[in-house]
Amino acid sequence: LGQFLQSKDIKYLSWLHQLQTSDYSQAHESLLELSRMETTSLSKKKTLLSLSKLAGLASDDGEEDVNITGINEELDLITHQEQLPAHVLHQRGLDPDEMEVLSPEQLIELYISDMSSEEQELNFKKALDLLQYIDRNDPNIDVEALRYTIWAKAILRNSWAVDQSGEPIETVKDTVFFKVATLAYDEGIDLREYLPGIELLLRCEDLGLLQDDRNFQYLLRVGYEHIQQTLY
Amino acid sequence: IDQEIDTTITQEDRKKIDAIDWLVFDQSQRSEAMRQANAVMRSFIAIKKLHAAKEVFHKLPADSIDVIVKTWQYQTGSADLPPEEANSVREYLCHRAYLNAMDSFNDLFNQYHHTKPTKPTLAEAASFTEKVAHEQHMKRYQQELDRWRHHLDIQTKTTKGMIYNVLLFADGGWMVDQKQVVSPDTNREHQMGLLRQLVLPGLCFLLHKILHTSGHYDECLKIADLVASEQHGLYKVFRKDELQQLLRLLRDSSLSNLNKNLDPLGYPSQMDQQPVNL
Repeated sequence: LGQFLQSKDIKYLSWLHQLQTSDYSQAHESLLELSRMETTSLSKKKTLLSLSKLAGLASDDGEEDVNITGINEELDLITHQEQLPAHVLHQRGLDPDEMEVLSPEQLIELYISDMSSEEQELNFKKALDLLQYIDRNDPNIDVEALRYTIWAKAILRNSWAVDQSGEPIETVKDTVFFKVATLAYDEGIDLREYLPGIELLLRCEDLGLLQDDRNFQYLLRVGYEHIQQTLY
Repeated sequence: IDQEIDTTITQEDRKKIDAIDWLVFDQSQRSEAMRQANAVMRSFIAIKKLHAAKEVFHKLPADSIDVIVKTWQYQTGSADLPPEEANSVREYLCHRAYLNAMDSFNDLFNQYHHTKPTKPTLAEAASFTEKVAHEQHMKRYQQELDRWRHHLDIQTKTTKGMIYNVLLFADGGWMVDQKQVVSPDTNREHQMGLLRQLVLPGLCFLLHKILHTSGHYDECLKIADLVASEQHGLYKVFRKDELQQLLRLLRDSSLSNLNKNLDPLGYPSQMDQQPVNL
């Protein structure tokens, strides 16, 4: 029976047999493999990962620890998708109960496309968090460029025009950009590495017209200086 | 499933239960009464004396949280309880959630086993009149059975919700303090940790039993999501053999899914396959 269950068509049943024979590490492996192949249903992938994790924990040899860290990362990623605001899902015609599995890049795209949530900084913070899940060996994705794009899009959420009070710092503090930095700082993240380099950021084409806006450049420098003084 | 409940209440138990009476007379002592009641309930739940725990619970008047907050407000002018009191109130709510869930389960259990209508029988050599009467009986039986099923469905839903309330207890979990205390009562914290280990796996098994018996096999598999989640950390209170037992139960539900021509997790099957009996 074990051999029969290894054949390709029936692979998705093999873990049931392995649980029956108390072979928890094999069940853990089989379920993990099935979860990797699952792309059509997010909730199904989640359950396969969860079962794999439990089987790994139920097995006697402690070699599954590495896998379990990996599983937790995958489950984290699933949580990010589950937490997408309902109106964003709706806009894209996604049913929260029957979603396919989205890639980290797609999730980033969705998070930074959300225009109507109250706390925009949370979306951008999540988008930046999601960068860690992108496969760095994938030649088609430039993670660094994507990071700058996210920051640029955050900048574009504000007009960067000095308000009546004429206090540059007050204007800066009100921006999504600054709020993301504060959020990260509150979580204990080292902003020196987290924030994009200002010169590179100013050269980022995603900024569009703001790129050549003197007033904006000035305000952004004020912002960086303020962050250096208060949040480093 | 080890859910046998000890219903005996000894003289010694009775003393502990009745002692709470002395503390609830004076409203200003209500927080001490709650602390004591919590401690006694912990010790009863630990030995599965749920009847006794419930009696203790009912010794505290229902408005006790309100009384404690008001007393504190009156003494200090602040509505925020100090950490010890806040933890004690939270623990009281944990006890309430658990006792309610177990009550609800017992109701469900009794309803399932004791109120199920019995099918009328017909002797082989029945006369015409007997056959006609039997037809009538069968009709009434069918109606009663439908009604019984309906009530059972409702009770199942209620019980399920109450068990989830315990398993998903807000802000950190069941029997987990929220507030840091300057000089923690290590004995109390130890007992609360033990109660988590004692109660939560059992409740997961109970949840599975309810869902499986009522044919919700797909939801059974979701118990895996719940237990494996890092946010709730339930898997940490499972011993290895308990995890194995849980996986065996989930496997049973998977097989039931297969027999309904679904995939093991209860989704429409991608392949046209015959029901499998492993």
